[in-house]
Amino acid sequence: MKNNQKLRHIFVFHHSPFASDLCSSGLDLALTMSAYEQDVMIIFLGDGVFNLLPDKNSQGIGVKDFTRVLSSLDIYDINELYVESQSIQLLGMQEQQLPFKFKTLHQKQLHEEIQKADRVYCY
Amino acid sequence: MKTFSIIVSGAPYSTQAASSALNFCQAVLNSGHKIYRLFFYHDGVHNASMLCVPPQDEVNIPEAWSTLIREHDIDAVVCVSSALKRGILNEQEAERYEKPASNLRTEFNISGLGQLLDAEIHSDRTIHFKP
Repeated sequence: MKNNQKLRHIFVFHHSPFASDLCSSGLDLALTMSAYEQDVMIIFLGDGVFNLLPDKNSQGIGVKDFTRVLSSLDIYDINELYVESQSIQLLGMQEQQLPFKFKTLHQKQLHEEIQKADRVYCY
Repeated sequence: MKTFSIIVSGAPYSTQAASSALNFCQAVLNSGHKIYRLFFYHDGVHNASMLCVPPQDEVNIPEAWSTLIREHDIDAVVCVSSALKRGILNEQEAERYEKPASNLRTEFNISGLGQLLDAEIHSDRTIHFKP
């Protein structure tokens, strides 16, 4: 294997944003991988969809809102952003509530993408 | 023979992550495979603390990591941002941030997330143990 090799990384976020800082550290890792010119795809699944809700205010609990960076991931050259469609329904949310640049993905497509990836990180 | 890298994101004793990672590493080496790097990220950096004092009838997990690293000459990296935030410092960082003490075990090095990508590239498998 060579140092300049490009690996396909999938980051699956399935935790809610502020109950732990797992998503925050996962996102740091995704940004780092992209900075090193790796192929990065991000998928939000289950409670992870809460990361995408706009107008969160974490000031009251004294936590920095790391999810703000999600609206400008294209600057970091991360353009493959997906939400698993059934999760949206199960949480009683509407697709329209989520920022438009996230595309939806069915479970079957999710499995296919994971099969194709070189590395999968779950946060 | 395969080459593995192991990411540990769980603190010792809080969850089974650190202990399972340790057992997995021993199994990997006992089966004749190689470990390219151990990478301690998130709460996993607590595994590198020199100051843990577990009760005598419990496994000393940080000590067990040190022994494994020494005996098999494995590269062990602690993520710098995770470590500083959680108070795991080597002498240089303690001096830089004017802290009265350092507590990183001598078998571990502090470095950045780039080392994790390097580990991925040089390993057949990268396994993540997390809480």
